[in-house]
Amino acid sequence: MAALVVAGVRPAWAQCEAMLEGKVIDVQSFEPLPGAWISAPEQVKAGRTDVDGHYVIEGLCPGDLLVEVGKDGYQTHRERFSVRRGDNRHDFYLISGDVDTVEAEASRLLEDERAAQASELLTGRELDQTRGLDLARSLGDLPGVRVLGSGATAKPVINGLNSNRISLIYDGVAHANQDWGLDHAPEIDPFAAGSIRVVKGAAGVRYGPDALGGVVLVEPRAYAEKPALSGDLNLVGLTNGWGGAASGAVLTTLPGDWDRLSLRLEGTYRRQGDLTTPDYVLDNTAQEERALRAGVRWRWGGGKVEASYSHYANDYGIFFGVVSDGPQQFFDQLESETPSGLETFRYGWDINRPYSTVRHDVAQLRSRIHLSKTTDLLLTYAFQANDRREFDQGRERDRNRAQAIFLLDTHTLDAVIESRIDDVELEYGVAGQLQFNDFGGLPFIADYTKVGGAGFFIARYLASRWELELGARADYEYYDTVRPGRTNVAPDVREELDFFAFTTTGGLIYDLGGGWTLRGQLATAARNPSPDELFADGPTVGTASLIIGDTGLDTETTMNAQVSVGFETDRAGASLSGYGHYISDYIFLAPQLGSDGRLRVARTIRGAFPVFAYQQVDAGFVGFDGDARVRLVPWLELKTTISLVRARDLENDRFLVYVPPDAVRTRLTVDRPRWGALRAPYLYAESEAVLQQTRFDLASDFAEPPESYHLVHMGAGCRFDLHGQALFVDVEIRNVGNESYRDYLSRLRYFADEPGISGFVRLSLPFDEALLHEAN
Amino acid sequence: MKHLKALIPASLLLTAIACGDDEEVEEAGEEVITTLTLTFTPVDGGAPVVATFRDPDGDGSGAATQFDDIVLVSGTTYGLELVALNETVDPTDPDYRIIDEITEEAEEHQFFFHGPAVESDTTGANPNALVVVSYEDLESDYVSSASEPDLPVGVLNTVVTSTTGSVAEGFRVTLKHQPPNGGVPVKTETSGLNDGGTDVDVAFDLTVQ
Repeated sequence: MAALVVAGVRPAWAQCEAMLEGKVIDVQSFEPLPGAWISAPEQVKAGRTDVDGHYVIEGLCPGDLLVEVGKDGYQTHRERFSVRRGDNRHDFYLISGDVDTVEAEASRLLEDERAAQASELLTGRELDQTRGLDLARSLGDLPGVRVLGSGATAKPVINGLNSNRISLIYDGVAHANQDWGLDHAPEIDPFAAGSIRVVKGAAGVRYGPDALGGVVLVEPRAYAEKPALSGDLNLVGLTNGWGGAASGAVLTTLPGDWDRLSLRLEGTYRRQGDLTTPDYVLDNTAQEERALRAGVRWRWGGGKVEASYSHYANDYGIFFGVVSDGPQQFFDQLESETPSGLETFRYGWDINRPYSTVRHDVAQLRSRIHLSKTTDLLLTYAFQANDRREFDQGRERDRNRAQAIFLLDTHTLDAVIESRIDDVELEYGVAGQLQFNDFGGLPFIADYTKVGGAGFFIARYLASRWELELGARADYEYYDTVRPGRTNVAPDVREELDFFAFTTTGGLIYDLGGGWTLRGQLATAARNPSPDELFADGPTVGTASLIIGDTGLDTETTMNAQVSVGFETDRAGASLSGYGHYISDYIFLAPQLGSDGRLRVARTIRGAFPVFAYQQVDAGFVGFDGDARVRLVPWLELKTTISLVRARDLENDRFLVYVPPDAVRTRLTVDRPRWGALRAPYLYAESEAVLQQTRFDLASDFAEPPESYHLVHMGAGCRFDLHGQALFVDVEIRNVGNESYRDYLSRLRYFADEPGISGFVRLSLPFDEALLHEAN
Repeated sequence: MKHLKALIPASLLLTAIACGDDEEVEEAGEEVITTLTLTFTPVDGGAPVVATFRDPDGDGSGAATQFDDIVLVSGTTYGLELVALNETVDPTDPDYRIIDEITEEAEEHQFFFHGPAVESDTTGANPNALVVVSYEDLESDYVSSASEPDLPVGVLNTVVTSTTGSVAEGFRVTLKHQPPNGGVPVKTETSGLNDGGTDVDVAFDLTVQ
């Protein structure tokens, strides 16, 4: 089957002088295999192993590489991995037999997942260069991905949609967290990723109804197939906030008689002080983050099973200038250019009240069982505990107590069959979820028990120049909710709700030849209303408004179309992608209008709060993402990315709020394989321009969108070899000009400017040592 | 290989640091203020005038169940006392009399009196004022160890009426909670309505007859 060029997955561009070498080995006997062929079809490179089973391939382009390896009497092995500039070593293990394993196909699929959709892959060096930032920020450089919020509350926006409409999958399990409102960012350690793939467009059939806008697939570092000891140590220092992070990972596949067992242990610690804008300190924005992950894998002829545990903890201060009580004060400080309380702001490392803490624990069991040569069964069980607490500036008696405690426990169980019959691939399965929400403190949303079940199937037909994909899914969710009475005489209110969502998808990818690829997708998706949309009743931190949910909300349904065209050659590449969503019963927060047509205001003891209620309208989104890169001369590359989104409330003929404004980024990179004593050095300058959002409805928001801004970023790095140990050093300066600016997607914009100039230094030490069984 | 051996302990050490210790945390009591009562007692004797704002669900969207007007007699001097209650709990509950917690932390709280019909330290000269309000208490009245400066709290005040008239939302009471920001005091001689968080902000209709 001819390999297809996968547009939208861009190699890191540099001169194509990387070298790949290694051995091809029989996985059962550990004997090296002479006369095996190795092929990298996308780059039109090939090689053969010599009498010692050793091969060399030169002249490769760094980045994502697809390699096929085979030999008579053995199953062809296909693998996709990252190739760095310079020398790379990669061994391949072949299994005797004559049919492609379903697992190999599945791993191709996992990396290439949803090939009919536009997607972006962040891995290898590109991923390393973003480490130290939170997860959403790491993705912010990819075309079509924006960041909503800032600091500890940053979340990704894909194709104009965010929060409840983006699904985050870590290690095969959908991240179950409390996504209420604009406040909470996903609780995943950015150092946990071995690779991150962003799938743009409705991915609901495979990943569930929350994936309306897209999916962020975070895969941990992969266990080695052969006995090895690998891992990395990463150190990051930041100048804005004077903080740092250290992260280490150790993975091993044990040698000798224990080679079926692999282990993984990873840990991260991050600490930073208050951030600063060009003119003042954002007092109380310090953070402390800790993460620990451990895993074990057992393999046998018939499959494998992995158990893992992950603990994530983040304590973060809430900026003193975020006025959380009293609309009068909020509106007064909205008028002023500087945040309220500025004269008391001091730089420091303390995390004071008001602050929030979040803990996220995941324990999971994943297995892949080969039912036959053509069919695998995947079983996954996961338990996630999400614990979020808010500590406000309370009175003395409550000095050690939390004002709000949100506990969300989720159990999920999935069973999926993957099979391959000739040119048809099938994936189908069922998923179940049991979730408990327990809320303590001032009531905001209900306590509930949720039971959900789903079934889906996806079929792909693989022809030589094209692939066709069709799928469908049905989801059912049942809630048993209790809203505690708010006064000492009011009774608890019990309510049962249920929702049904049906999702379908159809897509096509076509290799036009000459480096051109065309993809198209049509999908329908449905999203059930989330608990805050159903039950909210109370003020939100920092926006001085009362949020009211509606238990009568219906399921949101979307029709989505995406078309993208990609072009890829050695010297240049481009990818243009257009999309449109028509969302009926789109749920969003809108100001409630009274009978006089003016903003409805609820008079509570703390003042007159504007009331925002969740409503449903028919909405349309249309957008375009483009990126192009060209290597002008061998040492100079120019890359540019543009994102445009237009959205409208079609029922009321109004603009929607928090739609990302237009943005253009351009980067000029100088790089060479060597420069004097430095290996793989590079230097870049980047211009980022974000235009003012002119399509807004002031009645749905508190303030006009901030002005356009333009930032300049620079970076440089290289590789050192210290007696056989590689050390990658990257230096980055963001906002070199120390510009003052506010971003429309960040809630901070109501109070203060975004942080100013920030410097990052990253040191990365990867290590990889084979622990081969010594043949006598 | 030797570098490998150095890196493994470093990576494992990090995992050890990553196990922070998380103490057990209790949930705070309900901090809601549901009820604000203003009691105007004429200094020369006579029946007190009481005006109450009561919103039983605190921050919820339910409307206030009681929102009295203030009706005073012109040419009279009144003593004004404020009481704040949390009526979501029983009167025997320690969290019921929020006003006691406020005075226990007098150095971090202050009531401000303003609105179109009020003249006070907060508003400065106000030709449209129907009443003049002045503070009659200091932090040291409630907290024996109050440090300098000794500032007013606003639980006890004097209100002097003069002109007659009626102004909707004329008498506005705002309670500010002003704990220090990381050790830097927020309640100072110069702090005011814009400093700290707002716990109460109610504007009563005022009539002086």
